[in-house]
Amino acid sequence: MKSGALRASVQLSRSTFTLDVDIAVAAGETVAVVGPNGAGKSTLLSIVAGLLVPEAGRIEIAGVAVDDVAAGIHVPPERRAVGLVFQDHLLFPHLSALENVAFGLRSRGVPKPEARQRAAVWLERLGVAHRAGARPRSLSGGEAQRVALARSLAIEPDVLLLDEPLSALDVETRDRVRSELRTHLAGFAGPRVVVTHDPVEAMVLADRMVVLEGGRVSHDGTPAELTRHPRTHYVARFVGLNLYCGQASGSTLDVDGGGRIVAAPDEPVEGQAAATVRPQAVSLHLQRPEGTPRNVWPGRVVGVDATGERVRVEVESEPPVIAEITPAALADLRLASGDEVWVSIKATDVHLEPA
Amino acid sequence: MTTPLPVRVLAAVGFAFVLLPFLGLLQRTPWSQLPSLVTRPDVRQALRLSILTSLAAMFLAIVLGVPLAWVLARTHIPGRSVARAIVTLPMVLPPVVGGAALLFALGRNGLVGQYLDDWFDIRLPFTTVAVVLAQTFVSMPFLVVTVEAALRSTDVRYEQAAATLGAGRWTTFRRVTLPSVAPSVLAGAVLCWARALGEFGATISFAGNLEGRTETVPLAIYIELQRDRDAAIAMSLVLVVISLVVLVALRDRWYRVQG
Amino acid sequence: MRRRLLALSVVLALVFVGVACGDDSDSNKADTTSTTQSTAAKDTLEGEIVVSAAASLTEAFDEIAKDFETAHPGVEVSPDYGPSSGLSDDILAGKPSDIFASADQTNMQKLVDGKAVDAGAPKVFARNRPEMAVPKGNPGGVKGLADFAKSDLDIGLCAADVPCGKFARQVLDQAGITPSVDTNEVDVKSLLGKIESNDLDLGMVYHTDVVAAGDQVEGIEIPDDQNVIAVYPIAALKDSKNQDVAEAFAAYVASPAAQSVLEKFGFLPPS
Repeated sequence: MKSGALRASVQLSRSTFTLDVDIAVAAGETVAVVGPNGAGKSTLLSIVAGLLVPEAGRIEIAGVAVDDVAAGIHVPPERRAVGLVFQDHLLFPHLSALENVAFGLRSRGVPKPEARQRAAVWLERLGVAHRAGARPRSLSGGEAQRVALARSLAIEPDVLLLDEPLSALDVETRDRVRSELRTHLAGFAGPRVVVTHDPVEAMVLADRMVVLEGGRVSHDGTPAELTRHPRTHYVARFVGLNLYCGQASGSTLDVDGGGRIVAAPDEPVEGQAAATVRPQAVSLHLQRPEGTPRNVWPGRVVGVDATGERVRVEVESEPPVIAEITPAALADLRLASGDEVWVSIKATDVHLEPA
Repeated sequence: MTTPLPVRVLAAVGFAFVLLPFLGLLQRTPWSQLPSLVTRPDVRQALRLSILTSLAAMFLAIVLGVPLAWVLARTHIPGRSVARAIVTLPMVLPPVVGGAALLFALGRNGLVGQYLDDWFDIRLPFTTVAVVLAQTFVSMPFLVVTVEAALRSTDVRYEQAAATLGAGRWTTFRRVTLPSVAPSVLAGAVLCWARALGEFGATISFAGNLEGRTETVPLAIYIELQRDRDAAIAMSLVLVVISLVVLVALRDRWYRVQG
Repeated sequence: MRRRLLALSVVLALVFVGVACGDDSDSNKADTTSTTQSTAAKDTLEGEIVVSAAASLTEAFDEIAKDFETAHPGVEVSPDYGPSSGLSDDILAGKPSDIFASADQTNMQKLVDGKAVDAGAPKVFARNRPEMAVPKGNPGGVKGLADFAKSDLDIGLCAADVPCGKFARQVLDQAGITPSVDTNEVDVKSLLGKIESNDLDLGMVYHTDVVAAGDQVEGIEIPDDQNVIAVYPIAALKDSKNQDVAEAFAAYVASPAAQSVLEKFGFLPPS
């Protein structure tokens, strides 16, 4: 297994956006590519895998160009060592799990007995050896995911790409498989790229996060950096924050699009600024709350989404807000879409900084 | 869901419409002479030839038709829709015309046939090979249409997956694409075989009619109709029974695979 | 009524022409007698008749039927062409018909045996010579019947059970020749088609077929001593609902006018 960085600087026009991306992933590093639907995440993976040809740019794996439009280089997918794990696994339905894993080796000219033997080792390593003879249709989601990963790892690629690796799984198995996947990724020495729309997945798996919006990189940093300084609404929503941009004066922010937010008066800010509020810091009430909160405004519930231990409530108001409350609080409030609520946020929970 | 009444009624009428002629055939069948008729040497010979040629035609249609279906389904060559129409033409062309056209093309004075004759001393008309060619010409569209539809509905991402695993185009075609459309190839092949087995018009006009060489069961039936109606009916019955057995067995299998 | 009289005079005029031209031959004399008899009943000569005729008569009988209709404006002739064997089977099976013109004696005899035709009724009205048919220019270099045995020629006959297949085999049998056949065509038209397109070197059909095929097919005569000349008998059917018209038509076919039409299409006179 060679280990070397992946460098991709590519452009490609699609019907709804133009991908124009420059990313680098070091060997042993996991980069999560996140972004809204249609931002070009899967397109980027397809280009790196060689399934799409960029209109301009260059891709280099371990110092060797596999795409260089200017130089007329395009190495076809079957001749570049890129392992791609598809969203819905795409295990060949007519082959057993073992044959699926052996497929890449067979295609690369490894004799059948040896290919099967090596495939069995990979199944063993990923803990699905007992399912070697099973057809993909009879595998559970988690098993299929591991077989698909084994299939891609078995060709000992220079780069490993995973497209929404956990999205085909149900919620219960996702948590378990996620941590397994983290272990398996750690065992792969080359650059790893994971496309995902799941914040938890990105946080758990990735060393670095690249945010793609409208075909361009809008953010590139560690998950911690992203959480601390979300620069776009998408990122803020993605990392679970309420983000408000507007004009600040002292500790008060007039939000673009309507509404006003007041922060604690310790660090006054003037001019263009952004305020972030963690959803957990947002309280919801059926009546206008009494007492001290500086930020109180009415709104209407437009979405209630229970994910795991917390319940996310989306409120349409000026400004709009997402609150995260406990199931117990939800039960007290008996909130449903369309209900009128009052939003309150303590000034000390508003983080205001110049933008 | 229970079947709505109009659907049930029309389905019954449709089924009866197809079934009735066969009942007519059964009613006219000379049952007592049947064993001696179907074991007659000339009848056996025609049967053997029919089964042989129709299987050969099916094989040829698979070998040529599957790649053709692939090109029609997957490539973006210019004039593809015209090519597709041409491929299905034999379905609408009266078979006799198809046979005559084959003669114009491959006969000893034909477009290509004259060179086959001059350069290689190959004469196709009036040979068993001509029977197979006539049957293939008429029946291949059934296979191409079926397989093309299947190829269109398969997920090309499986082929992309194969490519990322290092499989070249041929390996991908052989180990991924082909197995994924195998049920449709089988279904198309069965349709194609059935059509070849019943082929009459193209055969008689391109391959002629000679016992043991080009006289398949449908030709023998036509000739016998003028001499010995009973023998003709007996042969028809054999044709119907063979086809029925194969269609029931394979179509069933096909549906199982699909479901 | 006036029109009737006019029709009558035309018919009589035709009959007298027939008598005038035909009285040098015995057979024609017999036929004209019957013509006269039927025209005597000219007032009732109207209605539709179905003429079941051998397929080889198609062109000739189309013309003869038209002439007959012109001569008898009240009459409508519907020809029904097909293989003689099929026609005779159909007639015996009850298919409505008024007159039968066969390409051989066998099928006519079938109707006599089946009491569909009176024993004395069938009259031979034409004969036909089997002939070797080759494509224009005779690319196979065919000279005589013996060439039918050559395996390097592409040779076609009609299937053994259709008329053109029967007489061809009779001729070859009689000459002691085993033909090297490449195809037994289902009818004379498809056999001629393949000779015409030069896909076959040699076949055997009637002289009338060669005449009808046009200039892409050449005929090579078979010497009389090796040949089997076909005879065409015609007879009105006993079950005809239009006996008079049927008999008039049968008689007309033997008339010089009809005979010259038959000759034009390559038929030989009855004797």
